[in-house]
Amino acid sequence: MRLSVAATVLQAAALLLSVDAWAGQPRGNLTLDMAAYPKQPLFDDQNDSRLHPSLSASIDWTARLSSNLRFDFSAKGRVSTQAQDRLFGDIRESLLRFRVADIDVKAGVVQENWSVLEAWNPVDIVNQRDLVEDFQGDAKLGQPGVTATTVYNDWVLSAFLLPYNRERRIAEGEDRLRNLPAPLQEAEFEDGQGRSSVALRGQYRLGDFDLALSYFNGHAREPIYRPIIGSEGLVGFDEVYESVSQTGAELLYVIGDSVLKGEVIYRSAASDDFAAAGMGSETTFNQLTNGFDSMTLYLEAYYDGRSDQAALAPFQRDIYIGARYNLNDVYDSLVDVRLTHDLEFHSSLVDIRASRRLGKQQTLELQLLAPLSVEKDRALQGYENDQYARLSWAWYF
Amino acid sequence: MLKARYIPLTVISMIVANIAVANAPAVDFDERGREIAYSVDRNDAGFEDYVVVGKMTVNRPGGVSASRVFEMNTLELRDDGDKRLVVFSQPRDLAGFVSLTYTHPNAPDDQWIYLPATNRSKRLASRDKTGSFAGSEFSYEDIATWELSNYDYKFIQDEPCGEPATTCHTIANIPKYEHSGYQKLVETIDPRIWQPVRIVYFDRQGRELKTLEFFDYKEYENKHWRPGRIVMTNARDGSHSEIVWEDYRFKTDLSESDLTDARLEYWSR
Repeated sequence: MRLSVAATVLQAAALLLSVDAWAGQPRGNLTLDMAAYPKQPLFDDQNDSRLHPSLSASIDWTARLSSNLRFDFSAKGRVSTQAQDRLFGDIRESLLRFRVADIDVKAGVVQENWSVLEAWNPVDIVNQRDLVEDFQGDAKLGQPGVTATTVYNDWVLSAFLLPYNRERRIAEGEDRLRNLPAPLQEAEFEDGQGRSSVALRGQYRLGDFDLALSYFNGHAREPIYRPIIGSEGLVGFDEVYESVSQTGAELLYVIGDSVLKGEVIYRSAASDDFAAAGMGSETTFNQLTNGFDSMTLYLEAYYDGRSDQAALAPFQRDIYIGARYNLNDVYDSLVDVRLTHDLEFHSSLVDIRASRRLGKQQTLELQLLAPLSVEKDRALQGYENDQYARLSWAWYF
Repeated sequence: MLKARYIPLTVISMIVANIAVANAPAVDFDERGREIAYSVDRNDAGFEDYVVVGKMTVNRPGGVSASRVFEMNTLELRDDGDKRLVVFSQPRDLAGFVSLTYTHPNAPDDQWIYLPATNRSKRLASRDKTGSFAGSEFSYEDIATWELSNYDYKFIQDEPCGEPATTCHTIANIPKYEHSGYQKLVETIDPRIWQPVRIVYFDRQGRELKTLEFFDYKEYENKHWRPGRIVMTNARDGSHSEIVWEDYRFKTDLSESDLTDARLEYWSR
């Protein structure tokens, strides 16, 4: 299945690149990653190599078919020698967009982003996540769907029809950064995988205040992992996607050099009805050393009222502190330090990244990641031995 | 010794200067400065919108340089500040990065950025506009559109400028915005085109910070003069950033509904 998706990506890319010059120039990157894990993996069937190299490619391409019709395409693929999926690819966007009577329409494979917070976005529910590509949830899988957006009385109103539900991609088998101790077996969607989800969203801006309200009805993107117990104990997990209704709000207020932000949801499902919220601030200081540099500080707190019967969420009683130092030099050098701390289980995740540009078309990034004291934290306990250093070299075209 | 010699001369010069001022026609420096600024504004009004490609080269001491390419879209609004959207295409790792700014007279601007790597629009706090624009000598305040009502004005002097030379007007633009990075901008204006040929920026302490020079003006739409090249030079370390402007297009039917944060992902392509 996954190989066929990858093949589709390559075929589509080849086809699109062969189209004549009326199309925009494709852009993207080739990235070589080398991750080094100093500790042996936690589970026996994980790959125990200390070095995990991989090569990834991403492409974005746009073609203007007429003054009112445009085709957008984005795909990403990765080849890994030490991973469960040696080859994986996904179409992140592949859509036609046009305007009919002041309504902007997108149809195809879409990507939406409903968020104001940095570390975690409880409101953001349209796209399924690719946790192998980024276990912290920043990588999204493409979602088949149609969206329509218009402006009415200063509200930006959007409607979404999402006719298919994708399974979450998580680390399995040989993968590092794997949280489940046994393999996935079956995926079960409460109302069937083909059941359409629907969503509505309205955005309103009044001066320094931004508000977005949303409603989603369909399958949850976070599965419940139901253990399968055999004669020899735990043999695997079924992933169960519940049918949910979620009402969400995003709020943002600009005050001085800070942005105050919050996200709130109320979700109803068979397993539980609960509210969750995150709030935080982002403050930027310019010219710290009388030069071009800047520092942005992030402070966020999260609460999630779901019970143990509901799908596991990583940010239930957590705080996040982040600092981004941007040298603003010709190489765009920056250092990003992120600390997430769970107030209930006292686990932490330390993530430090430094990056800069090399020449005109290359970048280099070093990431150090350390899960600390995660033994009791169900959302992180599988990562106990997964401290790593990763060096990434990317060539952009 | 030197001071003792110069004191009497200074006193004499002050007396002479006072006599000269007393006999000259009275000049209201504020009124004259305002008149010149109004002329600049009036002569460029009505452009509606324009699009231009900027090719920027940043040169730092030690021979370090870098280039940036972006498209800048500006929408004229007469009842509020202009709206400006910048889409980067180079360096390639920044391709698709978008910045959108709503300029407001005497108030913090509204600013958003779009990050293509995460498909995400972000609203930024933009009270402090002193941050560097794409690692250059230009700050976000410099890149924002110039609005007549954002400044008080003071006439400084007439001086020769341009090629062939003519008498140009030099005025001080004194920001009304309390969080501006500048105490004043000393601007020399060529009255043949009512556009600046040079702006000297002074920091909040009154020290000369940097100089922006304008070259190769051309007239578009029989009214609107735009430079082909501008150079910002840092007075402290000599680093300089040059932007070559190409492919000006006016009246492209840009509308307010095109320049919203919800549309940034559209512009990113």
